[in-house]
Amino acid sequence: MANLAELKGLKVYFYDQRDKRFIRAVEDMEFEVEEGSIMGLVGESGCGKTITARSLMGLIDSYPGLIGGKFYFRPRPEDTLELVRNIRRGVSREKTHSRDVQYGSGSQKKPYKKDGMFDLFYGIEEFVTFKKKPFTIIKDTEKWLRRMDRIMENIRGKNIAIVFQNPGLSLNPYIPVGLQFEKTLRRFNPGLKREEIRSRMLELFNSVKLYPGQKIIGMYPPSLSVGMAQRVVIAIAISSSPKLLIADEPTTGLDTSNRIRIIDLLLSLVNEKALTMIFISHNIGLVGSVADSITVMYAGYAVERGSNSVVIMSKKGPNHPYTEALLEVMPEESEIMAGRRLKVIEGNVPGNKIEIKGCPFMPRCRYARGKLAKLCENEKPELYEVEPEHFIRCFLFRE
Amino acid sequence: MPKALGFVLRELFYTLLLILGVTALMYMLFNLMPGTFLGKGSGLKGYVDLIKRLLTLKFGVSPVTGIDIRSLVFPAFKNTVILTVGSLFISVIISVPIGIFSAFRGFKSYSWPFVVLSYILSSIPVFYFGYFVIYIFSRHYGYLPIYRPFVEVQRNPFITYVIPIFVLGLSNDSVSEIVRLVTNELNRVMGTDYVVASKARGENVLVGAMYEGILIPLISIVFSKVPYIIGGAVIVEYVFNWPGMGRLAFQSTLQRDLPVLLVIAFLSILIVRAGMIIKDILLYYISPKEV
Amino acid sequence: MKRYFFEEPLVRPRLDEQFHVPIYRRASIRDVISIGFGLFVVSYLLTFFTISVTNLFIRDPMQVDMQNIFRPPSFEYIFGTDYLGRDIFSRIVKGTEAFFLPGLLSISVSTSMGLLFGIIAGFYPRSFGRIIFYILNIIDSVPRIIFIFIIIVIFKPSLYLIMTFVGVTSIPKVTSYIKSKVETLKRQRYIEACRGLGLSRAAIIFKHIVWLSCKSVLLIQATLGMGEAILIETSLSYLGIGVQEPTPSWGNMVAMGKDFFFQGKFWLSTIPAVVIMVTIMGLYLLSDGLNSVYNEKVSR
Repeated sequence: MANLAELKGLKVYFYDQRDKRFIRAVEDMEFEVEEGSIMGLVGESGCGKTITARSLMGLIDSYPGLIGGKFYFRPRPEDTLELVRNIRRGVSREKTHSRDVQYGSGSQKKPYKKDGMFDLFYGIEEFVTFKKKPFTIIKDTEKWLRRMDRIMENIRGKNIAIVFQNPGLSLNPYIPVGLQFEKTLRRFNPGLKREEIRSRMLELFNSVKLYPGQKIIGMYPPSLSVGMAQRVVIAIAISSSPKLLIADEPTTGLDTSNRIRIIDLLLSLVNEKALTMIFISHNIGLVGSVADSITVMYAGYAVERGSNSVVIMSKKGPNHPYTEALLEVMPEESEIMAGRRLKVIEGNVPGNKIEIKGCPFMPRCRYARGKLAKLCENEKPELYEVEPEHFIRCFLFRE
Repeated sequence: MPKALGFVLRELFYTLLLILGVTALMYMLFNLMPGTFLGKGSGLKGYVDLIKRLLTLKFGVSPVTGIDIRSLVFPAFKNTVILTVGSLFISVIISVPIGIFSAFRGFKSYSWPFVVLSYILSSIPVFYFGYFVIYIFSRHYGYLPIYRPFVEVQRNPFITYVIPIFVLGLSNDSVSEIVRLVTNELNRVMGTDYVVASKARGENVLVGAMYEGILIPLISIVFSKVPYIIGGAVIVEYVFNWPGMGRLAFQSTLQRDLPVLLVIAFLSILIVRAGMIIKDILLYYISPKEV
Repeated sequence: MKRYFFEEPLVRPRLDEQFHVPIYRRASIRDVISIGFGLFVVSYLLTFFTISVTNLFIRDPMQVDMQNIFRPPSFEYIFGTDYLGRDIFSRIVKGTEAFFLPGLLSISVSTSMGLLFGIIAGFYPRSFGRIIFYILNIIDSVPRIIFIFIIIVIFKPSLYLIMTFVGVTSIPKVTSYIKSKVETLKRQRYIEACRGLGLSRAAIIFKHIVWLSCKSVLLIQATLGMGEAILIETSLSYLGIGVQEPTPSWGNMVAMGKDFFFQGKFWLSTIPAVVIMVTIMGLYLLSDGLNSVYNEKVSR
């Protein structure tokens, strides 16, 4: 199956006003998603998963900061024309300044099309001026944001929809549910009559198994239970038939029974509507049971990616040391029953304000010993293709 | 609805308590000054009597000027309300668009010229600013936009009403305070989850952020500025000869006419508390309701 | 064009200052300019006041000189002379006397009582807090100027008395700031930890709460309070019920000078107004700069 989306070299920094320094949110992220599949994004809290998800839709508005990379996406056929028009419009033709970041070369127009997919970040880095690290500055924030918005207004909601953690916070508490839903429906289906909107809403509520739809329309979000709220959010998300659904920790705040139901719902949606999904979670067991392909993140880097079978399922196959540790740490039933102490990964995630030389996982890596340690400490590994379609960012697999 | 009613009743009761408190304070202060005044008798009985008469709006006659207080104060009250409300309106009309603009354009509009200008504007003493405006107008239009009963209003009512309101609206640091508040609140709200989620759905961010970002802080600050506006109005009324409570208060001070001052203070409290209650009611209705 | 250069720190934070960057490294150019200007204003206020009190004038501010009336600003008379030939610059210098000490009185009243009430209200929000806020609401409800008028009528119009009451009317604001600070601090773990380490209650209050955390709030409120005091004193003098002629006050200088606008003699009224404006602006900037340096909570 063809790829629906490809992300390469994502880099997101934020500027902290208070301490006046830059925070690295994402350092180097990449993945590929096949159409109709579920990709799982795994990592600890704070490793940059949510930022990645948000940046895919240009929702980074905590500027100043910087965002760079290439995000190729295949939009719906009817949106392609407008998307291309937006991409081409207003790209600054200025000469870009010299940069000293390992970012790719030169100032040429990079191609924005690839295999029928389009680069949604095209032209973004034209507004970025890099100075000596670690300080970098965005040259023209509004133009940058406006450019993002112009490209993304076609994408958001229509082509890519996102479901956040903590559904209670995703809905405007000042407006009843029905009104919010109506706004979205009207936006993507202009010219619908009142009854049509009503019936569409009820239809969608049915498909997410939310009853009684009639009553829910009039309620205010704070009165909904968490499970119900999450379903509403999902209903709104799929109301425009997007191609990609990003689920950012959709079940983390829910109790177990709700969790099962929501996962069930999401899986059924993927099957019935040929939806593609990116499932983000810190729970590798959950992701492993749901996803077709896996990407593992650590400290802002993508450290491993491949299909589910090679990354998680095969116990003997090659893995990044972090993935290995994660899988080991997952408690087996027998262990919990026996009341034994759980295993942990020693150490802490590196802070995001200090510079990291070399591999970010090195301080906690069990393989970084001896001669290898020197290498791991001083050089950054790339993603090496260990097997076909299985990439690992570790010097162990360099050749 | 019943909840709101109980709320209003509680607020009214608190207002009554406050009025009692303030008048008690006034009463104690007044008794320090030699000579008789509004109240008959002294001590607790005089106080109760005073309260009764205040609440029934029987203000009596001023011992200094001999004029019936009510006929003096009520029209002045009306005029001051016009001035106050008008100037709040102006402040909001000017500040909110600037605040929205500044929040959406990022820091560009917060750049040097605007910041400096807003600081200067908030530091100019009102008495000079008002007079300066009068001077400009008299040079350019050939007459003074000072309120002289009947004469001025006939000639050009627009100018006579608008300028003092405008001056008061720009004074008192109101504009820059509202701008800063709106900008900060909008920036904060635009980062909250539900606004980001609505943006993710493709909605226009301003629409979603409007309630929490603009409406609520605006209501809070506008109604809390009422006491300052009444106070600031004193100077503006003096400069423009506006027949409001501020000018009346000043005249009474010069004439040592204490009862009038008391009545003015009483009415001011009413305005301020009314503002607070309206603000609380509005906020109550707009705030997210939880079951 | 770099848009944020004046918001960036002057000195780059060190790598090990990951969690707490000291003030002198946090300040941006904008803060430095604000605070610098504010300090400049404070310094000239102090200078003027000292000159005025010790009577070290170059020209006597009260000296009437009918030969030299209405002289515009020049090298000889820096700010010109007024309608009685008195040197305006010296009168401006002497004018600081009108508000300096009263203003200090006002802010000391408001900060000290505000601190006291705020701490009590913060620690006992339900019992004393309610009473305190009831009383403060009473004070708040009456517009300040009306209150001042009443005071003037009842007592003799002494500026010190008035400023004391101005301080009193500022107490509610300070109290609420302090109270909210105390309430948030109360919940912090480190207060509990101090108690656990054996620090007495009083010590905790003074050292941690007041000195470390509240001092910034108090300083900022004091600066703002001084600005308000100046504004009130000048307004009252303008109306004629503050400092009386021939003693100069910036307010009554503006008032006296305004009649001469139409004769084209702007400086009589404008110069004191500009001085007021610059002074107030300096104090506001100072408070904003301090606020930005101490309380940066802008993070997303």
